[in-house]
Order: sequence, then structure tokens, then C-alpha cells
Amino acid sequence: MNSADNRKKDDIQSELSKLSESFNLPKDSQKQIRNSVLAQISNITQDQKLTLVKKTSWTFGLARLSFALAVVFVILSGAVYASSQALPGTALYKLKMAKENVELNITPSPQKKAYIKANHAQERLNELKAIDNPQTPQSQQPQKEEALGRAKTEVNQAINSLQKVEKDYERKGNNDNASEIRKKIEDLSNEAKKQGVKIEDNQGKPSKEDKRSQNDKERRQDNQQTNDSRDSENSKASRKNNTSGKIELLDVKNSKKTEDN
Amino acid sequence: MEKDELSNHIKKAQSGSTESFGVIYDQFSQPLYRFIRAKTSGNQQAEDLLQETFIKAWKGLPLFNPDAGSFSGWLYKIALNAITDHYRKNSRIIQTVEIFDNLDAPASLNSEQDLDKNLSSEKLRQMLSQLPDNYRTVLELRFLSDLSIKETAQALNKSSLSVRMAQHRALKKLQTLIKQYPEHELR
Repeated sequence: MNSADNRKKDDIQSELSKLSESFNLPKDSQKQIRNSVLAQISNITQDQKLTLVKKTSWTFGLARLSFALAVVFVILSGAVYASSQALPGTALYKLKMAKENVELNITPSPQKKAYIKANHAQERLNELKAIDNPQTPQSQQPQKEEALGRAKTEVNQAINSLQKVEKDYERKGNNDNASEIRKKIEDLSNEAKKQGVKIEDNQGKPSKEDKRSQNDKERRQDNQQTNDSRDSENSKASRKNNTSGKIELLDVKNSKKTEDN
Repeated sequence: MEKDELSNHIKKAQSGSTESFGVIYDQFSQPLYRFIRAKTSGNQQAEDLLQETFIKAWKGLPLFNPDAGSFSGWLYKIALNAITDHYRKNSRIIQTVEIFDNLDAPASLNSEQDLDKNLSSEKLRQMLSQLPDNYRTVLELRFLSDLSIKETAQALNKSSLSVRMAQHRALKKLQTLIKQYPEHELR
């Protein structure tokens, strides 16, 4: 910008400043407003002023709390995410197990539960593989037995649940889903065998719990039958006793009659 | 008023001194009124808004933090909010044109010089009203209320750089508008 332009700009600025004189507040109005403002503010109590401050501090407090909650949420999410790679014996492994338990417990559908169990079993097998890895620290090696035991339990439970779902699909005539489940069982079994996890023979047979409940049922039935037969014997006996009592009574009556005669 | 003196009065007013608040009123009422008047359509409306601004400032004084910015920037921000609320309540949009069109004529127009000056101001008002609202507000705060760049930035919630840029563009635009007018029409 050249000097002429600058001079013009300065002129405009001074014109604008002059323009401000047109907006001056008349002295009497200024005094009147002053008195009105001072009269009004003297009626505003300290409490009213403090309410404004408290309101704002409450808002700030809420904002701080939200921030703190957000930080906790981020840390927890990070920990849960990091725990997905945790191996047995590490600090985050318990968190990983807790997360899996929650996942399993909040799933209502038996089909989905079976799938989740299969995923968890697969994760146990992955953990076994990771422990066997030569790059894994030696400190993890003692955990192998524990990991093997857990893998065995979870793989067998998963296969059991999958087989139940498979049967259910077969019963309903849903062959596509049934074959998909069969494939999953086969994959899981093969992977487990590779990792040296023993698949129990009773696959497809009722589980221990089922067996226990079956046994309880049978025992209850037996007990009932025994009770029933005992009851019937008792009733027969009582009936017999009653009859013999009657006979005895009749005999007494008859003997009395003959004596009278 | 010296800066230290002002901060002393602000502190006293914060602890409840209405007398110190009166001093603050005396210091700021005139430039603040000029700013509000430029944004409203009548003297009465501007006076009401001036009063409202000072009452709101009194209520909000405990929240004013001198480390966060200047007092005048804070006060003008309250005034701007009061103006916005006023127009929102009345369901009207701030009409940039009418602000300068509805000015009352100055009481004394005796000499020819005064008449010339007035005509020139009239043209300037018309040209100002042709500027975008944000440019106009910057010019009003800077030259009608004598706020510094920093204070203007605080009142408008903008950076000093963007205020400087807006001021530069606003003056340039105004210059262009003046150039478009024939010299004889400016007087």
C-alpha cells in the first residue's frame, strides 16, 4: 500500500472517530442511567451473585467429572484391548478371563453361546501355541500345564455345546447350519489334537451335568417306585388287618350269639 | 484512568463496593453507549441495553478473572450478548442498514462547516452500512469505542490477528466505496 493510500486510510479512521461523536450519550441520560444501575445493583444480594458463581462451578464440576469418566473409560478400554493378547500368568490375563465370562453370561441364545465357547476354546489353543513359541519368555513356560488343562476343559465344553446345537438344527431340519456346526467341531477338534489337547470320548454323549441330572431323575423315579410299592404293601396289609379285625369281631359276635342261645 | 486504579476499583467492586462500580460506570458508559447505539435503532433502546449490560456485569463480576483478559473486552462481550439477546427476544435480525439510517440529527447545525461535516458523516454512515456485519463490528469497536486490537479480539472471541485482518479488509472496502462516490457527493 502506498503513502497516499495510507493517508486515506488514516483519514477514514479519523472520520470514523469523528462519527462516534454523533452517538454520544447525553450527560443527563448518563447520570440517570448511573443512578438507576446503582439503585438496582444495591438490591442484588451477594447470594444472587453467588448463585451465578455456584451454577457455573457446578457446570465446571460436571465437566470435570465427565472428563475424569472419559479418561477412566479410555484407560479401561485400552486395558481390555491389551488383555486380548495376554497369556496365562500375566497381570492382564485375569481381565481377559473376566471379559470372556461377561461375554458368555450376557449372551442369552444357546446357539450364540456355543459359538462364543468355541471362540474361547480357540483362544486357549492359541495361548498354548504362544507359550510353545521359542520367542516367548521362559517365565511363561511353567504356565503350560495350567494352560493345557484349561484348553482341554474349554475345548471339550465347546464341542459339547456345539454338538447340542447341531442336533437341535438337525431336528429342525436346518441342515445347512448343522453342517456348518459340524465343520466347526471338526476344525476345533483337529486344532486341539495338533496342540496335544485330548478330546474326551464321551463327545455327543450327555455331559457330566446332564448325567448327574439323569441319575438324579432315575434315583427319584426308583425312590418313588419303591415308595409306591411300599405304600401299596402297607395299604394291602392294613386292608388285610382291617379284614382280619372284622373277622375277629364277627367271630366274637358269633361266639356271643351261641353263648346266648 | 490509570490501569492500576481501574484494577483497584474492579477488585473493590468484586468484593461488593457499589461506589467503585459507579467509577467503572463513569469510565465505560460513554464508549459502550456509542457501540450499543451504533447497533440499535433508537436512543431509548440503546440506553436500556446499556443499563442491562452494567447490571449483568455486576452480577458476573465474581467470575471476572483479570488474568484471562482485559476488563473492557469482557464488558463489551456482555454488551454484545445483551444486544443479541435483545434482538432474539424481539425476533428481529440486526439490521445493518437501519442502524446508521435512523440516527437523530445533531441538535446544533449552525455553521456551514457543521453542515458539511454532517453531510460527510451521513455518507460515511451509508458506506459503513454496506459493509459485512463482522467488518462493521470491528470498526465500531475500534474507532467508535476506542478499543485496542486485543480488547476487540476478546470481545469478539477472536484472535488479535483475525481482528487485525478484518480491520484491514474493512478499511480497504470502505476506501473502495469512497472512491466510487464522486468527490462533490461526499460533501
